[in-house]
Amino acid sequence: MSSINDIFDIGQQGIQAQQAAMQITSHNIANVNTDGYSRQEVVFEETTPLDGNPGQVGTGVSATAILRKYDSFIEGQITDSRERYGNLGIQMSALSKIENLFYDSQGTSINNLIDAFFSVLQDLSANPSGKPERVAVLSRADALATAINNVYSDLIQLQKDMNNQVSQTVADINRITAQIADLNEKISQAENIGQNANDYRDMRGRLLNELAEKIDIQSFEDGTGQITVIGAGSVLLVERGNSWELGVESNPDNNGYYNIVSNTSGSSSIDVTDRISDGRLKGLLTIRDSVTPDAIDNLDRLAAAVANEINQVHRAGYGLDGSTGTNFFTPGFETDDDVSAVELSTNSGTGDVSITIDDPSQLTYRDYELTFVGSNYVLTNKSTNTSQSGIYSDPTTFTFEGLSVNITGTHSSGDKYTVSAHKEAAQNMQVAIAISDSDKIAAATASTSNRGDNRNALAIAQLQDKLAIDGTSNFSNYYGSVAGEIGANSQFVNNTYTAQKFSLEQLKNMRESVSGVSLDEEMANLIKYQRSFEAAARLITIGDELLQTILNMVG
Amino acid sequence: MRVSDKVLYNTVTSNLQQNLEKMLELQESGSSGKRINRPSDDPIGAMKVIDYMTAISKADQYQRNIDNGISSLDATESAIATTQDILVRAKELSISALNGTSSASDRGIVAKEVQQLYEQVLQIANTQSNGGYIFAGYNIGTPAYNSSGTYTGTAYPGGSIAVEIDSGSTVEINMTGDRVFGSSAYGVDILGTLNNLKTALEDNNLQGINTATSNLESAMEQLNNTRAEVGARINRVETAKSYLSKLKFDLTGYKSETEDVDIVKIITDLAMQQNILDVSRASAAKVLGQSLLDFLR
Repeated sequence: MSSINDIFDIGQQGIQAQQAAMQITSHNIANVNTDGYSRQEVVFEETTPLDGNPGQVGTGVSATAILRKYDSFIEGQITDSRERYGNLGIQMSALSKIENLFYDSQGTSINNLIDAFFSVLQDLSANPSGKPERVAVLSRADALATAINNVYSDLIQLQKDMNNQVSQTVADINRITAQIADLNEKISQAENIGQNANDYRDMRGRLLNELAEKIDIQSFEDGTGQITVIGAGSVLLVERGNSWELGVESNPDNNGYYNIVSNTSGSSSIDVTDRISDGRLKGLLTIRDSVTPDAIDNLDRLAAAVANEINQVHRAGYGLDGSTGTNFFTPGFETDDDVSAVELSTNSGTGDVSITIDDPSQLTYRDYELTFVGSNYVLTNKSTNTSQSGIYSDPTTFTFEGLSVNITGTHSSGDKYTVSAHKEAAQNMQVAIAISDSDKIAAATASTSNRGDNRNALAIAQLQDKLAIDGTSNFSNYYGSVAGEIGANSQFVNNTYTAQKFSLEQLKNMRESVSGVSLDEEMANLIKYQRSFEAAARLITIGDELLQTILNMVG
Repeated sequence: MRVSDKVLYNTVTSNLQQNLEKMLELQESGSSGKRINRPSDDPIGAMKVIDYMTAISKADQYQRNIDNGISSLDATESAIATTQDILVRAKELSISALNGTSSASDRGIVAKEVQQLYEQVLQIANTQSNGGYIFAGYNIGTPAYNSSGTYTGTAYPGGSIAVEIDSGSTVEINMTGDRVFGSSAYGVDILGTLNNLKTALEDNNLQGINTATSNLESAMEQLNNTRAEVGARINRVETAKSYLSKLKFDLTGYKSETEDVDIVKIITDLAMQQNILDVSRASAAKVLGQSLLDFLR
């Protein structure tokens, strides 16, 4: 049986339901500019009807749930896209710094200084005893060496910046994973007692996006609404209310730069540096461990080639003061000079490896690796893969590609040495002759009566055209190809970044299309709910009037 | 598609941003005058520009080398030419002295003039240019011939000073004294011949005057040959010079084509981009300014 009182109940429920809807609407309006906010919507349902005559009679409305509008597929795509975006963003800004170091459209880059240096050498060949020409040669050479030193130190600085950012990024990741674990708990607590944790979920989504920008992640939600986050392919970062921190450890085999380690398994930390495949962290590692070292290596090769080629010819000539055998640049690259042989920190052998220059004219300016395999030694040119090997017996001496190798003592199988004659040439390059000693510039081939003898100066000047690097490039060609290579890499990253940025924007728009707040829509809803509220209030007034009518009948 | 406020804002701002970026790029190209401001703008182009810059710098340098060379060769040539004139006079004198009408005292007077000619040739052989003795080979710090007329410079075939006039191609810009004026070891010793002539005149030694006269003829032959060789070298460097100035002109053109902007295109593009920007701003003002609120009451 229906009664007038039901009208009061229905009216009251209507008022409450519309009021709840208006509250959600106002929450939506207030969050129109909140990043990662998902618009919410109240779900109305009719309450259980009562049996009656002529049939079941409705008993009103109730607001049963607050829905969060979102599309998990798009959210997943945004996460993936952010990983690439973070990775490429870092690479792009670092590469643009590097390419600016190697190229200057106004003509003051290393290449121009090489040209200017050879130009004054030509002037010297035209007037070999001229003091101004001699001083000009030294000051141009100094300008060249200084420019190479500067680019080198700028590259090292960039590498160090990247390394610092690695540890900052790891700290950020740890902060975010802790927050995600915290939110996991809050969400499961709320949902456990039948509440919606919509806003917590938005916050967690936002953090997940932030995390994806820093490292490649995968995440999935379990039955309790909590997410598990796995980073770098296989490293557990968050599970339910727990998070595991990543750490950094200095790597002695990489200039003391940081490795990234995981402590998930308990006491021993595992190096996961190589497993990181995307995100800002990958970008930082790529620049730090691949792009910058390549650029530095190229610069070292150039500096070593210039110094070695010029020194060889210079040593053969005579200065105005009769001096000979003088190096023009340091490092000198003379026979018997020491060559850097760096052993791996994990080597267990106690023996010694000493490498010196055997023949400067045969140096390749490449990295070599000396490894001990079983009872054999192998020295491999890492670029061309040419190698020399043999059975090791203490001591062993041999020569290979201009290097003289002397191995003594005990070496264990698996021990490795990195050998390179050109390493740090760019850092150490200097003019070996003081301005006051300009008479020592060996312009002459004759040892005496040689004020007019320009043969050696000409021979040095003509090195500009010698295919001194790999037998295929002169200094200028080589420099051009290095700058071109960096430019091509930078262009590729730029283009990919732009495309990635565009697709991320598209995805964000798709997300906002589903989850974003439309003020027009909310305003229309507000009016709708306001009208319903007014009508529900009117129901109570009418119910009151009905009761009044009946009371009047009685009275 | 459902349009939320964020979609509107994002679309409008990202379009504006893109248009502004294009404006900035055009602005950068316009103000630097360069299409390539960093290698990534055009990696291949940047490599070419680096090659062109080196090639231009080398062409400049070769031109400087040639100018140096020409001045040295010119000095050599004019020294040879003056010596030729002197030898013509010396031969005239010796022939007149051989004439039967000449007396011993006449020959004594001629000897005095020949002595003058000897001094002149010695002075020419010790010509200095740019602080060095040009006929001394490598030993430019010391006169090529000492006071007794002995050659002290670098002996032929040594002593040639070469400069590069093109990649790998050199030209000798000097002539050692012994090739021009001879020495006791090489060619006709001109100073020795003049000295012999003088002595023969003083001694009234007709046989000696006769020998000296025929030696003077060989000496003139020697000077003709060296002068022709110097002339040929001057020709060669001048040809190289005009080739280099054309090469430099071409290279500068190629470099400019590779890295410089087409100003007309930039201006047109800028104007077009400005229009696009205006349109997107106007449409942003329209789209963002509208709200249902404006129409409610």
